[in-house]
Amino acid sequence: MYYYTAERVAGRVVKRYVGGAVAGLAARMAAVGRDKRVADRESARAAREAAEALDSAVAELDEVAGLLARAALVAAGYHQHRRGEWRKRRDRAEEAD
Amino acid sequence: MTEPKKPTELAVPTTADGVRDLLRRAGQGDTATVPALRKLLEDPTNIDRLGGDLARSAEAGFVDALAGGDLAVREAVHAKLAALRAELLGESPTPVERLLVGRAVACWLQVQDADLRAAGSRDLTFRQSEFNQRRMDAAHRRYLSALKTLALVRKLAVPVLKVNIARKQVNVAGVPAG
Repeated sequence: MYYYTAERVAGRVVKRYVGGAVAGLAARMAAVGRDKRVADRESARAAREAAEALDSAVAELDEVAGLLARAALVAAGYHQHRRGEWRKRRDRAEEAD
Repeated sequence: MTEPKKPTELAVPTTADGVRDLLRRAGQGDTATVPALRKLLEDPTNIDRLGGDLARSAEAGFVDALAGGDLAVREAVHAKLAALRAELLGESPTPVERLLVGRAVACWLQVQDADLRAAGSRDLTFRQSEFNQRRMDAAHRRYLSALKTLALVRKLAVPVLKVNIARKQVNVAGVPAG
């Protein structure tokens, strides 16, 4: 009975021969390691998806609130000068009041 | 000599899509939207319908994530949120201010969530660490932006909107009966 382990060392894949009685044990340890990595990846993916779901609710609220804030400023007679500061609109009708 | 054309007044939209469209046009500086906007912003139910549910669901999601099943943590988070909200709302806030405060509170929760997740994670890959770092940075930026917008609206728009509402109330009160 024999088993080959494969490891990445300094960017290169290095294979090692494991023979005799320890081959079975080495194969089992490698399988446990693989399972743990898969479980870790799954758990990280689930955590990431949960965080993204929470963030998407805030992003939607952020968009609506941003629109509303701009609308409030426009309704109050302001306009945004070149995507920068908000300035009072010089409106002829308002000046005549 | 021809008189300059007055922009045609828009009606206050009754659907959520219509309201969003009106807000987008206003955001692009369309002055024809102003009368409809003023009417829309005067009514608290319009603002609540537009963003109230979003604020509540975002907040509830973060509270669940932070507290889980721990009732003590949940109560502590709710107490902190109430204090933060009271501090940001001030006295007699307008409906717009209420929604902007709701956004700031949700953003504050997002900052806490991002910081806690990053601090509590171990044995991360480079990509996972990078995701956490980007999330923290984005949450902090969004929170600061929410506070800045609240301050800007409070400084520039709220005085004008409050005067408009007050004028309308005087006018309504001044209408002779019959």
